[in-house]
Amino acid sequence: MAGALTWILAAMSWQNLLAGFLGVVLGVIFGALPGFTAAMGVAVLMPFTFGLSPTTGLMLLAGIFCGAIYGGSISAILIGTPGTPSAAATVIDGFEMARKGQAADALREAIVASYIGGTFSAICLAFIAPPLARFALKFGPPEYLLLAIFGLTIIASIAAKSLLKGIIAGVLGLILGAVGMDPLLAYPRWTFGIPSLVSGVGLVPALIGLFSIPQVLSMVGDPETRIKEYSGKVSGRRWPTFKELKEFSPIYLRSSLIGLFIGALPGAGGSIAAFLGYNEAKRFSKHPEKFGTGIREGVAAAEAANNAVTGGALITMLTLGVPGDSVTAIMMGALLVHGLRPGNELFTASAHVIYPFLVGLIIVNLMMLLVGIYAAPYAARVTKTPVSMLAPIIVALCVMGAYAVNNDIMDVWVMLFFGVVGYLLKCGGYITIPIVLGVILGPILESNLTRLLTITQGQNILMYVLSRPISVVLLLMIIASLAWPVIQLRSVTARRIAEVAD
Amino acid sequence: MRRGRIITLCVVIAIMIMLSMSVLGHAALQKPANYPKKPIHFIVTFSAGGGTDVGFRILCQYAEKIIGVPIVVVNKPGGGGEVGMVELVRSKPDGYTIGNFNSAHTTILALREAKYSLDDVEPICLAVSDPRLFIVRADDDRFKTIEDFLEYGRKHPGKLTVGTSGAGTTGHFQILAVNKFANTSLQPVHYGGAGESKAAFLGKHIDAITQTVGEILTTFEKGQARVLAVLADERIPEFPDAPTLKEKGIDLVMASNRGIAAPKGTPKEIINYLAEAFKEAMQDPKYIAEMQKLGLPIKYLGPEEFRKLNQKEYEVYSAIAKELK
Amino acid sequence: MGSSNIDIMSSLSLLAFAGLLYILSGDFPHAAAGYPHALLGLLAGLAIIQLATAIVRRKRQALSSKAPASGDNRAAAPKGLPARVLLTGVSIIGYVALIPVLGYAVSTLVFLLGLMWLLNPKHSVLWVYAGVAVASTVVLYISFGRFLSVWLPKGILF
Repeated sequence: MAGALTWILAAMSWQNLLAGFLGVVLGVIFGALPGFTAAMGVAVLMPFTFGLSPTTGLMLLAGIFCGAIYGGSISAILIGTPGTPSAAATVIDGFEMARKGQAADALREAIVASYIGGTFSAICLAFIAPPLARFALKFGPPEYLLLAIFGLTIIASIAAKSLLKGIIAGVLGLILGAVGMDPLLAYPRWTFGIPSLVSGVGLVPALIGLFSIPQVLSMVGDPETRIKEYSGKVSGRRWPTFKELKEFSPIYLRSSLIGLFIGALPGAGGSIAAFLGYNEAKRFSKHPEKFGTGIREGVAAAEAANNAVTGGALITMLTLGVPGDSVTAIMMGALLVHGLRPGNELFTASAHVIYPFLVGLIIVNLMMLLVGIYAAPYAARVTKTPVSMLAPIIVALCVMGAYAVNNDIMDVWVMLFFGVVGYLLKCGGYITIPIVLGVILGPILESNLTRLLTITQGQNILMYVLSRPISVVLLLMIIASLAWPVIQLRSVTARRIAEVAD
Repeated sequence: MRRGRIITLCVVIAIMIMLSMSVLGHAALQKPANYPKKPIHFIVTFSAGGGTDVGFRILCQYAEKIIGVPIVVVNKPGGGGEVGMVELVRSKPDGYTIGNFNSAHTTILALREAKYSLDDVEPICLAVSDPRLFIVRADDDRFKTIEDFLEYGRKHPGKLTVGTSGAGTTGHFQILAVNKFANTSLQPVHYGGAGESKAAFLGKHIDAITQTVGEILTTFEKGQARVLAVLADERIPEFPDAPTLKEKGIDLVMASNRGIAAPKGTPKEIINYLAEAFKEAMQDPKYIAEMQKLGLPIKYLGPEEFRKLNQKEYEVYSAIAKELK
Repeated sequence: MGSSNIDIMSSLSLLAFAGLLYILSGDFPHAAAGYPHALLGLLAGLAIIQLATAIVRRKRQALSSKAPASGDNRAAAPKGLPARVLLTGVSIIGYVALIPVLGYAVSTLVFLLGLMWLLNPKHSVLWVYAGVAVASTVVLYISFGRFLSVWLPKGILF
């Protein structure tokens, strides 16, 4: 007990608080800029942590991490382009809210949900890290494969209005995700002699292109709505009401759990967590048909999930030395520079470093909440800018963002390609989200399929998969997920009939 | 007699001092006229924050004190290192653009057509050489020694799964090379990086993994893994019980090498000057301590030796890659 | 243009896209070709299904030549490309093509000034727009090029 108090006090040293705050502010800015991801922010700031004490350095990096994941929602809501890949799911309802003039409400929901998800995962990191890490290790090739397929079933619920077009867009995304080295022989597929395509289509340029270019084009092509849409009311309450929080608590909890767990899986990531969180919120909602039209539930579900990834990713990195994503991989480097090695030792021999950091992570989330609540409403003014000014600036920002990922002009052309494809498909009545899911999940799908086939050479694959309990659960979830729209449709019809009968 | 020895010792020491001074003086003499006059760009062909990036950023901090101009690190990741290498070989060969040259750049050439070749590169020096090794879980009773391991692979072809950090990486080549040289049949399983393969290994989805000494030292805890064999010339002090493959009659030495190179055509005196400057930086005790914490074993080789190493690596990897096709 | 016509067009383009990628995959080694070929087959199959249903729908519409299709398609297809959209699209592509020639700073300034002027319907408050364009360029150039050490492309000027 006395130990806990020392750790809390150690976490609250002014250096730590300052580092955490600076990290959060920089992170939010980084996250809000399309193309600048949490990983880039952490990489830029990492050399500065060499001179700081380990706890202070970690707080700085954690601040950037949490802040950037939240910050991605700001541009997702205001300009319909996710600032980081994690915020791709936030666009669905967040941007629709902004179009209805509810940008401020959407931003408030994003920060509240981000805070809840982040804090939940930080607390889990402090208390249940080892068992969760052990569970994450149970995920092998068949489980990842099934998880990717489960992720793809989201298409069925998102594109319910035109299922065929949704699936076509999804397959198109998978095909674009197959560009680059194959996972078995490293043969470069469809690279047209362009070196940067060898490692595959960059996720960040692809997402920027898919979201921003069609958005900008429809913005300028729509003289009727160009002012109306963007001059909506941007004032609103600063804090959420208690009633709101209580009403959304199942969403927060569900998304936080999903985010925590997906975060703990190496190689999955925030974007998948957010889509799964969004989809489950829709599935369990009483009014699933309203999702996608601009409701707060959609923003809450996506943002709680992607920020809960932070704690999850730190769990596997700190306890096992397995970074869950590129951000924690860089943070692991920062630990090593200070002579700290991840693993049990970190929690015993280096307890004086790591426990104040765990407390600090909770504080960092609190700082993020304050920054978001007080600063985000100003960002909402973006929606007041005339389109003729806003559209060119968005383009310039996106070009910079796509370029800055790898300092490579080829990535800007990749972004434009995806932009044109996205716009043409939009004109043809296709929606963008399935392409995004395909591009994100495709590589996971193929590489784990390849691994599964390699590992089970000569065995019966079906028996192998069915002998693994987690795989069976995932299989059942996939079946349920595909059957659910039918069940839901029936129950809705039944309810309508009942209502009419009344 | 005793005095004689002392005198001899003194003479030897004096000669050594003179020699080393003359070497230093020589290096100072070699400084090219009018170079460097402006900041030098250092292209890192991998993402910021990764092992290559961090290692060279630290080295550049020490080297710029010696060279006297800032060294600006620029990340040009993508294509497994090809994007940055193409950028490097296409830069002006004036000594103001240099970059890293890793084993990965050699494996690319062995594996597929690329937009650069070994001849486009002017090697400066080797900086890090991290020997590769095989590890199994500490509690895996099937393999006590590397012989058990290889024998198991022979008896169960394709069943002994060994994780790598990706298809076409040095780890992949390591498995293929061992299969060829030791006449065994290990099954490579490719993961998206060292972290993912480590997770699969700890989760018992695969039997073994290939990693480097540095990766094991920094990311594994005692009792998680056992080193079966090292692919180095000599045993590694940190793992005194792990034999080298050479000891077992398999003449295979493999390491993840990270060096520095310039575009072809960079003046010889600039190359030699930079090599000497980086050599001096690498002798800084603070640099040595930082690299040790990061698990990056330092190894210096001069321009010509580094060129030979790359050529030799290329021949070995090409021979293995042919079998893959 | 009816929604079924759009579906027919998009189905045909998708088929062509799948066919093109299939031809381009001719030299893939066997192990690297299975997954992409399966996807291409799937895409082609789905496109054919869509094509068939769209043709059937169009025939039905032609027969019952009454009101235009409402169908299951909520796609509000734009009536041709408005000039502004085309203009914006072309200037974006021109902008990216200019970057290696003029350098990042100059081409960004030219692009921002140009597109803002084109999009501003009455070409009013020009100085505000010019100010915003210059300020955005400077902020982008300094914050990214200097503070975040993005290696921005240099052109003939700077």
